[in-house]
Amino acid sequence: MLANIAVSVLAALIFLIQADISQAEKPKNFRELIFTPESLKPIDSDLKVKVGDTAPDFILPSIQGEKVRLSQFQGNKNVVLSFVPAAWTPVCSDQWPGYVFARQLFEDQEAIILGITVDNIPTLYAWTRQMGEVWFPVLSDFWPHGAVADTYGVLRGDGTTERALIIIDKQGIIRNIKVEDINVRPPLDFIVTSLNRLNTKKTSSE
Amino acid sequence: MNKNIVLAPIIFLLPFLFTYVSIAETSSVVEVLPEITLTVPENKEHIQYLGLKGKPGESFTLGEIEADILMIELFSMYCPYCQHAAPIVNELYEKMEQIKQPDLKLVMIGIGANNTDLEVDTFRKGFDIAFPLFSDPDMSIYKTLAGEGTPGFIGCKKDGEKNVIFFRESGGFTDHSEFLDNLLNRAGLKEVDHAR
Repeated sequence: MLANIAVSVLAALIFLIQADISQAEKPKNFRELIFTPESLKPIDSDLKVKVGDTAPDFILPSIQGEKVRLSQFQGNKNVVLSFVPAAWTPVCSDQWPGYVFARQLFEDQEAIILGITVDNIPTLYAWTRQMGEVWFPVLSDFWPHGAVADTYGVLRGDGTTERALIIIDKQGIIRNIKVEDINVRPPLDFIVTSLNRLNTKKTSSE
Repeated sequence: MNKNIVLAPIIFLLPFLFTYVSIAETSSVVEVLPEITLTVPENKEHIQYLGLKGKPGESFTLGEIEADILMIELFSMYCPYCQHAAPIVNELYEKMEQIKQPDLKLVMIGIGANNTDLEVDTFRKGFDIAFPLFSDPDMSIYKTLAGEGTPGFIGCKKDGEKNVIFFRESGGFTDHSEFLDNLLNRAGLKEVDHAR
């Protein structure tokens, strides 16, 4: 009799514990694949460009297959260079999905984004496939490692880049720069306000 | 002697069993909706929908919203899951609006965690969202509500003088009717008729 009770209690306990464990398990998704480092030094480089400079030209391979040259957009589009530290890290992994979603805001301002990281093409490809239809070129500054980031002065000591936004007008001139704390996502407001100012000034001078 | 051998594991395990039961009981303790202050929106339809007395720009608390059940969606414009869920959440809102019972007012609001006004507005326009959205740029509301990721859904209801949280779900959902049934069931309202 007592043995029966003991077995019942044990069985009940095992059931409760297992039920608890199975509740804790969650399916794999994009978020669970993200590597989360400790809080990083906010900024770890010195800018080599300033507002008013001609943006240093570059050519980089894109995940879409073709090579993209910055100067190909001159006379045609305002350009937002969006450097993000690395694929598969927090903040970056939602910054570009936001830009993917806010496409209309960029198109309204006749702007294209060039998304740049120091990751290689396969890594960038796998990572951005999780973001829906990425409508802007995603460029790999992998080799020579971080060369373009270094030209702009946004290459960090550990080989990743700053979380930086560089606004370039249709003449190829840098019109605004934001090197954000790497741990924080820059507000969309910075991009929209900067682009708005470009287009408003252009209209008033015409 | 034999008795002792049989009893030993029971005596050993009993404290663990009681600990487990007491933890389970603790988690079912009523969770009071914390005091959260928001700004009265400009949109007159939203003011009416929320049953607010203040003017645009003035502040109000979540508890002042006239609702028998208040559903709070935690979202971010940047979150791909929230983008994916947005059309289904819109359908859920439509379903909630279709419930016309005099004693049951269902209200839904959205809180844009770590989103500026512009980002919330972009989300609203992008998905043509009809229910009121509020920005939470420093995530203070999200933290006060103990958010657990986006999209997140928190259901609140009146319990005497208090507003209590009776429902928490994280992640998206595919069937808005099932989700609404679940919400109403957990609110203790099993007989609410909503056309599926």
